Amino acid sequence: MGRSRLIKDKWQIVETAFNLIEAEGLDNLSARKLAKNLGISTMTLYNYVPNMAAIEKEVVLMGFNKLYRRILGEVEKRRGELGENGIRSFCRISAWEKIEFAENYSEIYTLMFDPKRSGLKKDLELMPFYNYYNKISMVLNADDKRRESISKSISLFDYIINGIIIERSKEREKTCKEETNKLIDYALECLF
Amino acid sequence: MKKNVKISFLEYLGFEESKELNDKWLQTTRMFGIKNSDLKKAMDEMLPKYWKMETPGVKDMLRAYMLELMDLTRVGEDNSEPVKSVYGVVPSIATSYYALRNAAGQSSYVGYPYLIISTVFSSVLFKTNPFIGQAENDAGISYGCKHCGLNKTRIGLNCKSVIRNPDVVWSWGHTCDEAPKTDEFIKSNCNKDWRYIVTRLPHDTHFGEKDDEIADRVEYVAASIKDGIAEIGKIIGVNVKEEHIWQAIKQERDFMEKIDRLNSLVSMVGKADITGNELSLVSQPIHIPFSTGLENIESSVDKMIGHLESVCKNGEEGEKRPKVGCYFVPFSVPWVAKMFEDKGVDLVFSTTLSMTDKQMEDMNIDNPYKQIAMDWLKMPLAVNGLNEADMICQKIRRYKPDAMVFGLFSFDRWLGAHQKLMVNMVEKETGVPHFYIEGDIWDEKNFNSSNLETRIDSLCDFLKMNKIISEIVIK
Repeated sequence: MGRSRLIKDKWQIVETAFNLIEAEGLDNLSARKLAKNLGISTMTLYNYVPNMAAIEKEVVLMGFNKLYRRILGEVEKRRGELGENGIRSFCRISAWEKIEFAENYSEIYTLMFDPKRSGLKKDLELMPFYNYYNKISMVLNADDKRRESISKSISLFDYIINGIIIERSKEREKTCKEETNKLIDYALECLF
Repeated sequence: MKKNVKISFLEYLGFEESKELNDKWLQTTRMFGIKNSDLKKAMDEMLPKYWKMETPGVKDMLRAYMLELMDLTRVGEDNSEPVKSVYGVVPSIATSYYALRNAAGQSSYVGYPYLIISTVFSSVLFKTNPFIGQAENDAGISYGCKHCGLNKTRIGLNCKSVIRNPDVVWSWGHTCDEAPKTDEFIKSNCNKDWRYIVTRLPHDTHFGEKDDEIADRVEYVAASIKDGIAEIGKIIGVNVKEEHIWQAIKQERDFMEKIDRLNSLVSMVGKADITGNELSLVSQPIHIPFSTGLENIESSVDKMIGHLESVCKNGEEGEKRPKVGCYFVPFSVPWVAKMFEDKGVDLVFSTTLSMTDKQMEDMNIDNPYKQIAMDWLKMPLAVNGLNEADMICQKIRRYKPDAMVFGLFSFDRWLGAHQKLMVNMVEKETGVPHFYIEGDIWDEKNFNSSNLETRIDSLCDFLKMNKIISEIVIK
């Protein structure tokens, strides 16, 4: 048997796991399969990572990095729209970026928001990304009461978007964009 | 003729040429196995990349550390005329050590060699401190033991007899229990003549109590410090008088005032060319003794303050960049702060190395031991969790960072868990977003740059988004 090759960068493991999960689903990810894809032995894999849960955590972190990066990119591009009704515009942009992310990376999205993995939400490194909207609300230029009210509305809106994502994922034919937009607009009108 | 790399290195750092210094430096490189290739790489590549070498005070700061490293030749194994030596540990308050130095005179060695060695290897030579590996591979403290890199360095260095046994180690078991254990390990496994004195403070105040306001506690700590100083004085044959202690208290207080001023200036300017790494390095003498005294590092602080004051005075602050405070800025892995900087964010103050108003209050006690005890019990590292969280909140309000990063201490049973405790408490109280990053600031092999980059990317993206959100007009 050939000697197990060395991994130059631990990040290779995370990237490979990310791609494997997206292609074959989380249930099909095993240490053996991951090691095979990396061209190393399972034993070598465990020299780099303590267990599969640690890999899942890194994949989730990578997912959040991609998600919030695309939201930021779009918000920066359309900054001019944030004038009047800025919060609404921000929420609308975020919602669509999240929906598209969930559709492009459906397996990763499921892993990120899987209710069975509630431990991830309590992980201190991941917590800011699960509480992203709460955290960014902290800097809103408003008095405490108004800030708290907007923060709650943004969080509630995010729950609604997660619901929309789940519903869209169940349908074979995706609900058309126009219909989803109507739902988003109605939610924004009710909340803000 | 081609110039000697070792001497060129000294010139590069701005040392004035002197045969005595050159000899000391050559001896230092032999002692610690520093190669020409290490120095060349540092000069040509790493130092200009990670330190702003032309910023006033930066070269002076690096020189202060190099002088401190070179001072270890006085306690080197091949030194035929050993000096009276006391080694410290962290966390501690350096005042008591400076009192010993004031009494013993400059010919004594009162310092903390392990942090100096770690700092020079990681921040000047950009190499992992080799003594950590020696402790792991040769002395039985394997990675799984999760010992702090500094205690591993103690084991690696002293079990390998790179530096001479000190006359005594003053082991401050204040809160951290690992240092006294390390002394026991060295004594039982490596060196039966190892002599140490433990000054112990239990972590037993009620959650939220102000440790320095408990009279019994102040008395107890003062008595422990008095005992420690007397016992060490006896061992090294020195009579430490109250005047030596007051002198040390004043030195430390003056130094802390300067560090406070520097922290304030860094938080005021837009794009600071002095940031977290510099702040950490110049602030360390608050907690550890420098055997060469405070003068060298103080002179670098003066230059940094002068530079930033002139930047402010001339209105050259530049556009404000997001600033992130830390529990400990990971100065021993300088590329971490650089990674932030390259993404438009500056790491600034460390909560452990900056001051609260209470720490800077006028002194009104007539007993110097009590004054040291009070000063120590006002330090965040010596108090219960809620008291420390309150101190951190004060610092956040004082220096106004855009976010805070905790962590990088996953190896540490005490500080690792401790920082996890702080994150949510302090965020809730201050409203400043907090982040936590796993890692080990002493041991680079525990860092993975791309792994860390994703975390730093996310954090910096978050701050950019924060800026946009803060500019939205709310009706």
